[in-house]
Amino acid sequence: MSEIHRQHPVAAISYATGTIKDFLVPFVVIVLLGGQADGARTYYIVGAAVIVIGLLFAGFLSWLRYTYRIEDGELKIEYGVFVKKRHFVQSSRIQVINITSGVVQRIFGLVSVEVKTAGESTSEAIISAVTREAAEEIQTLLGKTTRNEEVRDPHTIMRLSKKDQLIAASTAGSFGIALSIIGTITSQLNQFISDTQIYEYLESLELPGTNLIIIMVMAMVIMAWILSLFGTMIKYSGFTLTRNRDELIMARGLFERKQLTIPYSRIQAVRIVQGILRQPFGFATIYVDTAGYGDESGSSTVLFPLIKVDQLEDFIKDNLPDYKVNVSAVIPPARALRRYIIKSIIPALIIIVPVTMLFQFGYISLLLLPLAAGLGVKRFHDAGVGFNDDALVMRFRNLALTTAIVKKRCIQASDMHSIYFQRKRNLVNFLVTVASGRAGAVFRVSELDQDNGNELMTWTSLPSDNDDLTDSTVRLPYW
Amino acid sequence: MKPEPTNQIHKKAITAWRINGFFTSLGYWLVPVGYALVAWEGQWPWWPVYLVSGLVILNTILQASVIPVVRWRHWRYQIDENEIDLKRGIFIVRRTLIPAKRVQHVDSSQGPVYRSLKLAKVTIFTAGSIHDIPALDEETAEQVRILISKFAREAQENV
Repeated sequence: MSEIHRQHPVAAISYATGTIKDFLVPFVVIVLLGGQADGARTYYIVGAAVIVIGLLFAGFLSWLRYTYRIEDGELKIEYGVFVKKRHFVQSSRIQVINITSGVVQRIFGLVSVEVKTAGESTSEAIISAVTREAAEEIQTLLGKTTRNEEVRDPHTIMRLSKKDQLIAASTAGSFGIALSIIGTITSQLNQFISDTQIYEYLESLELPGTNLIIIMVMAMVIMAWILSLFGTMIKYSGFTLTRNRDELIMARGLFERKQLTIPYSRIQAVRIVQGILRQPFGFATIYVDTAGYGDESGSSTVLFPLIKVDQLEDFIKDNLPDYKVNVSAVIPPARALRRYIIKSIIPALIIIVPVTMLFQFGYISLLLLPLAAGLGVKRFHDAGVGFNDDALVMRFRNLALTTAIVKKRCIQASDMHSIYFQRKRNLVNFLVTVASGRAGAVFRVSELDQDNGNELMTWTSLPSDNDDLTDSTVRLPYW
Repeated sequence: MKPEPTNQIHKKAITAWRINGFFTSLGYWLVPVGYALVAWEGQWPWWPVYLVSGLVILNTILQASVIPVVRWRHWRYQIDENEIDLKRGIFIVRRTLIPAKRVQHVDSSQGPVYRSLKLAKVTIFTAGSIHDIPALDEETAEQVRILISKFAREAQENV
């Protein structure tokens, strides 16, 4: 395939729709805000049409100038309307190959291929519209140098059952994003219904004032939950994880199908995360960190959205055999408990104090105090670090309980921090940085004994050392 | 645990940090000035102006006097064939180990203040993190940079 290729012409359309999608929110806001005045609407429609046609034309030009070819295991892309740019990617440098099909591409039965290398900005090597066969050809041609034989092991496929998908969606708890969406919608709603109308309606229900607030908060939470439920359902629809001899392939998505290939050799860390909504039911999510993938710094990729805790060990043995480790671990000493509780209470106080001072029933927020203290105790009991010859296991809780497994060769830097109050009690925080996304991810276990911290630092610094921890108290990982 | 790193950064760091600290701390003066303008218009209480001004001026004085001295006294670094070892901090003490094998590239750079004092800063990049060794004299910075890239190359060849 050393001849020069072009993308499918649909690339021109998906260029336009992609740009529109990026600016959708300001676009809609402008139309909503500005469309009030008489006659203004016509201008807006004409303006929008001009923009769309302009974008289509720009898309056509960029399609015309975009060529790619594969020579000697190297992907060579040439593009650029005014400035001719060449982008060459060595196949040995490729971290992951990502095959996506958006709504537009799916209509024409096309996919886009994204080739990721370590530490690269997102948009560099994307071939945005090719047929699926062409995409697979690119994948095999680029894979050839890393994979010596064409013969692969029989595939093993894991699917996310409909039931698990529903559980995953209902416990996703991505409230933050959902709430911000609701906030935007309600603020735009003022265009059509005035605040006074809403208040008049609510007052007609004749509810006492505090109930009103409680009901509004509840409604927001439920709406956010439903949004997050649907979002997650769509995202994980038809989730499959396929295992080859030396790579994992995930596919997911309802409207936009995403396929992501992760070579084993590119995995930097594995995280098992038990969210607070999932932990009581014995479920966990598995993430992997890779250097080239992830939209922002420190982000990681969901390898499997929902798995029973008692199946974790088998899952790791089957799909991530390198990460099947069992180590003895150190935990924070008893004198650290106090600091864990204090550190959990302080953020709670930041909310409680102003709320109590400002609102009539603000003292209700004092209930947060025991909750925060309980979280502190939980964090203390959950923390631990262990290692063997070549792997490090770190367990810590923010809200969700995370178990991170890192290979020694993937540790980019290790840190030991202590503030004044910790030094008085001979305690340190231990931090490990791994490559993840465009920047790194940091795993931190707090309030370890100074000596244990020193041992951990020694372990990361020595090339090969068979030392085991002196006072091992728990086994890791356990769930 | 290996012994603490021993190399100190250049003493002129104190001067450089005093100058930089003085100018960057001026940015905080905007807070009381801004508040004063609003408070004057809206007849808000005046005491926060005095309080915040006091804090802001104190910060500028400290940044331009003792803080750089203490910070300089606590900065240590060491480079050997296996790793780069950094230790710094007064209230929060940070110790960082960067395996030489993991180093991707090394930079040295100078801002206007550093250049006038003939100082340079060495920046170490790994795939997941960025680390600085501040205020070395130009010659040392050059040596450190060459040394780190040499050790990084050797360590990577030994894998």
